[in-house]
Amino acid sequence: MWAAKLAEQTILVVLGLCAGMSVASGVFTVFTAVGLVPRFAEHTDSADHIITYENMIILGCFLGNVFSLFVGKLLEENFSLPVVGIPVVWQKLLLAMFGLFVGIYVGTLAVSIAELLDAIPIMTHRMKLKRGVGLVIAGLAVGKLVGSFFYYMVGVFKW
Amino acid sequence: MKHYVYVEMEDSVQVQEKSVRISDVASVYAADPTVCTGVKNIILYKFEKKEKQVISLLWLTSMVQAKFPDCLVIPHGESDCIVEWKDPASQKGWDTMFGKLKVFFVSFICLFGGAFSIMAFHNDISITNMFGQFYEFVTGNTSGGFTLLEVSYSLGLLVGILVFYNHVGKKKLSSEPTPIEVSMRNYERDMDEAIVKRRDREGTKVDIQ
Repeated sequence: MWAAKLAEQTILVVLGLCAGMSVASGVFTVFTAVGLVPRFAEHTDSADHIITYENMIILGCFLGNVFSLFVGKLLEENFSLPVVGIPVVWQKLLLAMFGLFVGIYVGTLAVSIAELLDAIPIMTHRMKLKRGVGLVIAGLAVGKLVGSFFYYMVGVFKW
Repeated sequence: MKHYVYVEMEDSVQVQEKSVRISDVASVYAADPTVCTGVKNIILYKFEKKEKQVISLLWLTSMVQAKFPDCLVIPHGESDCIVEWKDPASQKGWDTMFGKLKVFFVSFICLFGGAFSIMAFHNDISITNMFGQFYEFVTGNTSGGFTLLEVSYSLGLLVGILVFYNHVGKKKLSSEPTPIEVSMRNYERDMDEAIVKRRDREGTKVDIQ
């Protein structure tokens, strides 16, 4: 009986380890291939802090992983920040910071993926655009902003 | 008698002073030490405002020829060098404060961005459900949501990222550069190329006419 139990647990551990490692390399290859961090580092003149940025990614990934795997369990047990006694100000601050930085991240990620596929150069070349590339890009940004607002507005109306 | 001057130009440099000398943008070798220091001290360009300037190898060659007509320049390295003037006076106080703030800001994007991307991925594949089914398939019991499978997955994920990024904290696992350092280098090279190309088209680089 104990042998079967051991075999079960071994299968679980092996699958878990393998899945974890392949997901890590997959998700973070995309992260690196898009080249977000070099862009941020270039614009903020901080190429010598790349190790810090990588450490933050590693930490963030680990925390996000633990959170998304176990949040259901935690909520079931009725565990949340107000229960531990974190004041409302800190809750709001955490929400605002998470929203702001994730927003910046997703915004840059979306544009970077478009750029990775050379979408804008190909379109301007095909449409024989000589000038106004700046306008096209501004249009994309405004479109995303309006789209994002619209998405959440629908939620507001339902509520 | 002809002096041979070997010049190897950099692809991009930052200078502290307004006047750019040859020694700032290139390494110079000549058999005669007086010629060598003479060539190194030739002024190529003077900055008037904070900007980036592209200096071409031909311009450097012509400046050397003008000062030392009996010299023959043997070029190596890049054909254009991007020079950026960084005023040391402006890099104090407020500027370093602001720099630290920017590092802080980017760090937060990385932290929350990394967390968000892994959470979004888990949500995409509805991992809780999938792990629950697999747990039931292997053991026959319903999963409580906190099993060996989730724990070993987390461990595997952590090992995977650490191996991928090749360092734990500040300690590197091997002497190779990390993936982001490599892509930073590629990005800088692409940027330099684009700057040189644009200056070439505009005709605003420091070049012979």
